[in-house]
Amino acid sequence: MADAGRAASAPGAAAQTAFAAAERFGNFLREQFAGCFNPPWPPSPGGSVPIGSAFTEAPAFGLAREQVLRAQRATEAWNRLVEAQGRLQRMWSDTLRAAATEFSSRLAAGEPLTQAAIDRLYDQWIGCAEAAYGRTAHSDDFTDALAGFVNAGSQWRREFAASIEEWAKLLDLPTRSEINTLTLRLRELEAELTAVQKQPRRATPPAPVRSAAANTARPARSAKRARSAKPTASGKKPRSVKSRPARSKRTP
Amino acid sequence: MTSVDLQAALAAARHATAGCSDKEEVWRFGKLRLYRYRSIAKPGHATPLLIVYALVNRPYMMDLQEDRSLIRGLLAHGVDVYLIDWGYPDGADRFTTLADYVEEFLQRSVEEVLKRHRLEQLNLLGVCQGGVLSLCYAALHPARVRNLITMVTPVDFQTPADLLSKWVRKIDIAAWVGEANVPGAVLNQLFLSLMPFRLTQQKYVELLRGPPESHRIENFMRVEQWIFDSPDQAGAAFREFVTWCYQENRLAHNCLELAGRSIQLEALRMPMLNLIGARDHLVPPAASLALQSLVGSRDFTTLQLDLGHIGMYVSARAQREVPPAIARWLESR
Repeated sequence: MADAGRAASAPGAAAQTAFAAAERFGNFLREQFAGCFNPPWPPSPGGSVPIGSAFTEAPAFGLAREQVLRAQRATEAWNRLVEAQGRLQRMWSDTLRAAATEFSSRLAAGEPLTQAAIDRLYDQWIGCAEAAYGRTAHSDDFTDALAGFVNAGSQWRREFAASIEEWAKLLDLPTRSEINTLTLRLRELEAELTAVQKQPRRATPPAPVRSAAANTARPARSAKRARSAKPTASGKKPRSVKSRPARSKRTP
Repeated sequence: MTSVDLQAALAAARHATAGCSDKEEVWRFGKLRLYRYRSIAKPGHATPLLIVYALVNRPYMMDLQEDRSLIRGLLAHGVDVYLIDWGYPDGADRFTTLADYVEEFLQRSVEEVLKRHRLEQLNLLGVCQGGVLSLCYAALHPARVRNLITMVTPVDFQTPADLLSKWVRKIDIAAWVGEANVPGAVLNQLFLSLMPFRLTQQKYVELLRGPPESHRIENFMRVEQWIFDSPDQAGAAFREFVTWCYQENRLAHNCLELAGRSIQLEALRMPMLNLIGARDHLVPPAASLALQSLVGSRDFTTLQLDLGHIGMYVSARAQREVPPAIARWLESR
């Protein structure tokens, strides 16, 4: 009480006390927001040990070795992601605090609150906020934290996707890797086809009409036969393969 | 304006769609569409102009509405305008590379235009990332490009003011992209986070401040449509673009290769016009200004306007100044 009385009697002391309290509250909020992306499960005993470290440092062996290793990598990535998120969040809080400080220093005391004055104030706030954010966003600390966040997120997603693919294989479902392989094969085929189409047609020497017809017709027939010659359910060849009239129509 | 007024004005403007000039699809290749705009003035240029827009946004920003259309401005000056619409890549396009975009899609589009006009050369206008694609194409096929115009085009990707470049340099892009496409919404979030207070708050307060004029609200809605209508990016092309350009700055260092062919900006000896936005936060002026010292052209014009990246397409000042400047420049060559 005596301290409070002395503080109140000294000029500016009350303001200083209020400022200090506001700063403490600001720091409290800063840490609260920095931790808002922590996972919902409780931290490991000891507090300072990263979440899940007992698991990530455990040796992996036996039948589930690969699965355990993958889960450990995913957990480590998640820990890095949360840590980077916390760093980014603290920088955001500091940015907002710097913006608010700069904004309050620019406020003109006693200005009547007209619509134009409010608009001007708002624009000033935006200017201060962008300036403070610009300083933070260009800093090495921010770019490091951002890169840490994104890179950890990429690794976590990769491990997670690999786990999903494992389950998909067990259930005989198509996976993204398989579809990618098919897409790449299709691209290669398209490229080969384009290359063939771009090649100038070879000048073939004049040949008798009959032999030319035979040269072009035979591969087409044999290809067709190869496609249609798959065994049917009954084990017999499809009837159309032996169909004489159809053949005679194509080679008049 | 009260919130009730605003709500009514926005509801009335909800059907406002972008794109005002008549155009005809003249060719298609996969998802790509090549459009030719119908002339609205006496043709003044024998050589057609092909506009190559960025992959990260839709090209209708060039033709938003009648009083905000660079394409309409060019048509009014007698320019014969073609435009490439890259379409919306999907999962099947994830392995499409930068070389595919330049040596396949862009090259075929150019050949199509030239075939239609029985010409050997055309004029090329590359916008933003489309400017990079145009520079690459023109360097590989200089004989096909009569005049080259670049608009808000980055060339030096590592200038001090380039925030995007600073952010991505430490990111493992190959791991981030993986083998997937990059969602347009993610890129949008990235662009908004370059100036979060202005782009996610002030812009909407500005809307509330102004009068509830339908024309103004419709304009706002069209720009919103454009901003958030972002195609996904073909994963391979995106990975190459960020790695080679932003992280390794290969274009400025003359060590970019596409499909095994080296891109030497020195090979660009045709007349060039470089349009720069002095207040561009995405492509800082220095990133574009670097072009002049890297090309072999002796006929090089730089036009720097006091505009931002988006203002370069849609601001009233851009409408007044950019199309006439391009048309005059083309006319004198």
